[in-house]
Amino acid sequence: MRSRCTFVVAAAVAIIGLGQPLAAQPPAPSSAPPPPPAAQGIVSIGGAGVSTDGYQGRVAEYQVTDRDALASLKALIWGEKNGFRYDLSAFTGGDARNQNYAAYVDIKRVLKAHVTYRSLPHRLDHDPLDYLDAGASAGGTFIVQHDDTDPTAAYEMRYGDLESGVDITLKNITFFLGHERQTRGGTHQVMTVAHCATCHTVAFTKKYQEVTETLTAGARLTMSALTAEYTFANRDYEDRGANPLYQYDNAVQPATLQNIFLNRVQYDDANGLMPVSVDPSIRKYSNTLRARLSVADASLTGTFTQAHTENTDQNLAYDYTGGFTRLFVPLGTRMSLKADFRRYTLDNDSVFVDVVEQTTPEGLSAGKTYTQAFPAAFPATFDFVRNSSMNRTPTEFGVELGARPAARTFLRFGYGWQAIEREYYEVEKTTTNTLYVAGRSALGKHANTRFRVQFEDTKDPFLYERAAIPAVLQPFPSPGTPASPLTGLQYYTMYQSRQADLTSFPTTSLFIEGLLTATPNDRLAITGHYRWRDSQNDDLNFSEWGRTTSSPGIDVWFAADEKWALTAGYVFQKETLDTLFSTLAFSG
Amino acid sequence: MAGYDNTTHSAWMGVQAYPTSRAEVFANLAWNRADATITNFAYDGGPYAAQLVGLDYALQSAEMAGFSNLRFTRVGLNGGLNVRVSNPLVVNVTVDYSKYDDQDPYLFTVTGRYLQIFGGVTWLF
Repeated sequence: MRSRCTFVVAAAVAIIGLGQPLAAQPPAPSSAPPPPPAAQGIVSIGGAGVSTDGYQGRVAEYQVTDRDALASLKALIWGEKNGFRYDLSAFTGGDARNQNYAAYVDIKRVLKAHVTYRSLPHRLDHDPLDYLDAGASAGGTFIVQHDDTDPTAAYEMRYGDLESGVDITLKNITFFLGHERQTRGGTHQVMTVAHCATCHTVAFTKKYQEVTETLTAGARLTMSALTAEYTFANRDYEDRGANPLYQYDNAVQPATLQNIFLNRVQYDDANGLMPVSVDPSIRKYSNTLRARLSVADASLTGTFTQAHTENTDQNLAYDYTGGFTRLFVPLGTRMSLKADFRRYTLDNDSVFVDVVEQTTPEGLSAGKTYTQAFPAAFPATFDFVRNSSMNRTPTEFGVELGARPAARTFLRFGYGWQAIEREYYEVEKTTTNTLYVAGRSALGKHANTRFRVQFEDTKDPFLYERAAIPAVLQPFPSPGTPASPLTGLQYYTMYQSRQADLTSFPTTSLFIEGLLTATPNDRLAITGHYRWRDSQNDDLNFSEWGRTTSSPGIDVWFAADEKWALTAGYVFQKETLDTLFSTLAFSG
Repeated sequence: MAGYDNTTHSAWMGVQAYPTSRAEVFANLAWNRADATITNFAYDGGPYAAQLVGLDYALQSAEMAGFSNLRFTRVGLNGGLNVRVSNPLVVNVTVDYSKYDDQDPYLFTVTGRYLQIFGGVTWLF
């Protein structure tokens, strides 16, 4: 079945790719189709002329436009003989960045194998950074500035994906093995920031060569009522490119340029050249067990997954352990019950961060680390244990009652409960209750409709505690000549005095959507649809948060006769977001 | 309080015609329009700044309140002709044209144009 579908899809892709939606389709098979031919296919040759102007990252984000004209070749051949099926396709757009190949083989449904390869270009943005300029009047040296070390670079990534697999079926057991190699290579923009003396953002061109290889292996057992499958997957990622090197600025007081700020940073120009934008190598493996039990029209399915993901450069890892199960039971001929349960745990390693605490060479704090200079404000050291906010245990339960109260009318009533427990984050537990009703119905012979109404109520949604509005601690300028417009507060005192919680998650959310299609005759169909969502959070301590989205639309299909047809549509969307916004001058 | 409002319009129309039993003509037109703006954000850091020559200070001025505003239009046209010159042979021509009009640039101007004309021959066996 898969091979037959593949043949149809391959033919469709070839025809669409050449811009001929219908004209080349073979005639429909008769009621008693002849045996499939041993070989049939399509060969297409062509050429394309391309002209562009303006920003290539938008007008040709995924296209090859280096040359004005490109030849293309596409060939598909497929067939079947004595239980041997094959399906081969090849496409080249005249450039190594635009290729697509596939081969599928099926030998008597015992051995199925495939290999595919595709590549495409992707142009990447280049941030000019020229908005990163700012300054204070304190001596004319306290500034935010930027440097783009490669301002004319045009960034582009070439994506390649080689994927292969083989299935061998022996009676009721299928063994499968798969391999995928994804590559991303080219150049992209990376940045770093040097603090003290100035906020200095520097951009570089990084050559990268990312390789992600995935190996999967497993077996599937099929019995009369039970299907069980085990899959092992191993994935390795590494970037084989070279990292840019940068010597950070000398850490000095930004206004006076005194050499008294070294104890506020972990490294500066004295450390020499340092790597920028280092991507660690990652290894992930997972074990997945799936099972499905079917009895009459009822079914029970379940999945259990255990996965381990590790940064192999730093020996940091997190584990995922979770399961999902679904029960479906028909209740007579007009009703059904579906129940879902899901629970998983993310456990990320805690890390001891040994902060490099330097001493300042000059000034009143000469010879002291930052904590030694301000002993009343900080502990004896900045060393700390990073406990991950990623650690969590979400639990979800859902139940849905389906009903068919009348012919061609279906209704679903559902309730969902979700609790997310976080081990270390300030919001320890978020609980969401969801109610919904959905349905579809045929309204006579010339109309049908579909709708869904869903309400969610969330207690303690994810938020950032004490994220904004520092208290007014010094409502007068610091003394000096000239007088500073900034208060003399240390930035940490401003951060520590913040009072307002901020979030982008609601406590209540209402979603409504509806669709009505009218087909007054066989040649005309008109569909009107509307979608509306309103999300609000009025539990914040200093403000409210809200987002409202509204989207109406209409589609029309009209076929005047057998010789022409017209489709048209229009969709409008409006979204309004309201939130408290607060920023600190220079972020300290 | 501040906010962000955005609206999008998307309209399209497609026509497919078979003037003869061996020919097909098709054309698709798409129009997209997006507008977005920061709302209720009256920030002006200019009075607090000393501006050095050669620096732009975009984020330290009233300009910041509209810095990420968006006003963008895209028009796309795709059309073509397929002619079955004989039973196994099809000749086709397609034209793809897109015009991007960035009326409120953010970071960089994304105004531009893309035109591709394709001609080919397909043999079915």
